[in-house]
Amino acid sequence: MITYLLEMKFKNLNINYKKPKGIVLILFILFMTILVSFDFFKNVFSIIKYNKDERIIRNSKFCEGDSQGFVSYLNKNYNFGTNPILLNNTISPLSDWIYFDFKKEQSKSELILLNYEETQTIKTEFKNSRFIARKLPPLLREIKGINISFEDELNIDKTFVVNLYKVQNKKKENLTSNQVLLKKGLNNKFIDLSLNDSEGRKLRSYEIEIKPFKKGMIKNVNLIINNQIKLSDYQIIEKKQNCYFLRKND
Amino acid sequence: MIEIINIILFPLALIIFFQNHLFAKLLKKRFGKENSHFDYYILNLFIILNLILLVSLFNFDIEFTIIIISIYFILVNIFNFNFKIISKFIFSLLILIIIFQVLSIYIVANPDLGWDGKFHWYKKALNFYQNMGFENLSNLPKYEYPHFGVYLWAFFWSINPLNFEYFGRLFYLFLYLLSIFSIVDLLNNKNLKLILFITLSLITFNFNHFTGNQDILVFSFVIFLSRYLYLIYEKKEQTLFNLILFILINNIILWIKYECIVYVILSYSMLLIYKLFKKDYKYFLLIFFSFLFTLIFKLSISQFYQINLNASFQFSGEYDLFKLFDINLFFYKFYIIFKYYFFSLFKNPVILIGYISLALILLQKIKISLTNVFLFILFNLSSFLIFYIIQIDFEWHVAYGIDRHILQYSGFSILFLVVFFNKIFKN
Repeated sequence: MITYLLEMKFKNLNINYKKPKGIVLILFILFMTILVSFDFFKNVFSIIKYNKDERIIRNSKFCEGDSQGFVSYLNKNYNFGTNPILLNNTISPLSDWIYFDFKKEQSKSELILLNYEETQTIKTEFKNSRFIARKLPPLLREIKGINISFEDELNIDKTFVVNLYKVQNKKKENLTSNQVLLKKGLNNKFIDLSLNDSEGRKLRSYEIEIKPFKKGMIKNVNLIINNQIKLSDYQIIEKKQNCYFLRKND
Repeated sequence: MIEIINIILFPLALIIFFQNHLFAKLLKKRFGKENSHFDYYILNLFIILNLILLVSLFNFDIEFTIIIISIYFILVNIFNFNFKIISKFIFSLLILIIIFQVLSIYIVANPDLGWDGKFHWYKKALNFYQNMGFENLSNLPKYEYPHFGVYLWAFFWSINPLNFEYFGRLFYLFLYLLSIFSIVDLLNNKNLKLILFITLSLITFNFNHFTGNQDILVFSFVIFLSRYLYLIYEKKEQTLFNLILFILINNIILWIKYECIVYVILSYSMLLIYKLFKKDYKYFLLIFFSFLFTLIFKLSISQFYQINLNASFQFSGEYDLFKLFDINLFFYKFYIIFKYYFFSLFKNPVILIGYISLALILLQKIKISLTNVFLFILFNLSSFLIFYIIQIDFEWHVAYGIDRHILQYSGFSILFLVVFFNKIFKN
């Protein structure tokens, strides 16, 4: 049937249709190339072997990024009577679509918390004589402090001015300025700020300026932050790595 | 295994679903042999889509919409069904079905959604699937976005026996392939049609376009539109049939994404200006009043359902209108948009092919309607306008949004490839 159709079609191309075998062979090779390049056989196998929900989580990490593996695990093992609130402490797509149901009410007590630590250390990158902290957790509540590590121990007492700026939408705002005395022999200093900064855009960044700045003196600068959710306010129903299923304590 | 069987049957069901043998008979009598059966198929497709749109606006349950469309299907096909029409295009249909199967298996094997798909598009489709109505949309993110794309998603999600959401997205794939088929169908050389269809559909396929975003729908509808713009401007076939399709397609485009209003305004304006310029007043009033009606209808529905048309991600609180006229900011924004626009061209093979074809047309001095060229330029300039007005997280929005925006109108540029090939490969 296919050979007949091809013969009828290729008459117009003025190809010697008495030799369709060669053309059919070329077309077959092209067709197989297309199938292989689109992983056709692998995908058919995947559809037959795994059900839809398994296929969704196969390319996701269990408790990293969107953590669909964990959410799917909860959906399978817990019969959600309501829609638990889902909060992800990384900038990732929301995974609540896996269980969301408009016919169910939004839960007031159940919470799925992904990639969460109550206190986090944010590493900074050095650029233009400043230390910049980007990709901040969305649930940031407070800047607990700044941790400065030096390459070598200080050989004398030294006073530094440490400025912290918040940068969002191309605007820079000075949050705090501290004069810090570092004693001789120190190679590490924690500056306590306890600065509440839960408001702000997700894409904001923080810049730490240390004056006087000498190249090669500072090893790294980290921002220590506290996040919004206090785990002690909740009962932990399920915990896998940094992913939690919580129920609010009455 | 049952999924595989459903995937195999799905395109066959869609091909039969959009058949209309009553129209084929009646329109053949009215329009004679001017239009091919494929044109009647597209006409029926857009009549059904407009009917679904109309029913969706009454806020009925989706099951009711399915019943209405099923009644329509039975009424137009009962006593008129004719396999001869399908058999005329059997080879082309076979190729379309095979390509559909290969690509749909790819999507179904990886049914995860994209970022925006998870953020709001899926929930909007779920909203209609679970018959929550228009009112509930205001509780979801990006509430100002039109609903029709996700309504179609919910429609085909409901209609399939397995009730898997990805069948809605497979309908997007079907439209994508059919739209490419519709534009290459304009080639004079019959052998080139299938070769170009297979080539274009495979090289332009990107899995990420079918992860819940609506941009691929706009892409497909703009290609359908470009088919009739080709017939209207290049072939000068300003028939009632082509104009009706022009109106029906524009009406659907308007209800897919927020920025599509720009494409609709541009395409209608160009047609009206063209007619005025040529002093051709035939059907002028029809086009003019259709234009007005389309826009007023959209605004009225938004008012009725109290859908706030202000883009929630920009016009909430901090927006400063005076900054739009700041000359320093203008040059900075223009530079950023142009930079990302330029890089995006290389990520989109369709528009790159379109630009190359246009360059070859101009170099070879091939005759082309300037209206289509102007329209394409205006579509590209719309990217600059739409991103220029963004103030909050401007560069981030441009960097991550311009690719998808260019995708929306990039299909229009396939028209230039058709013009070029029609000149080079005469029948």
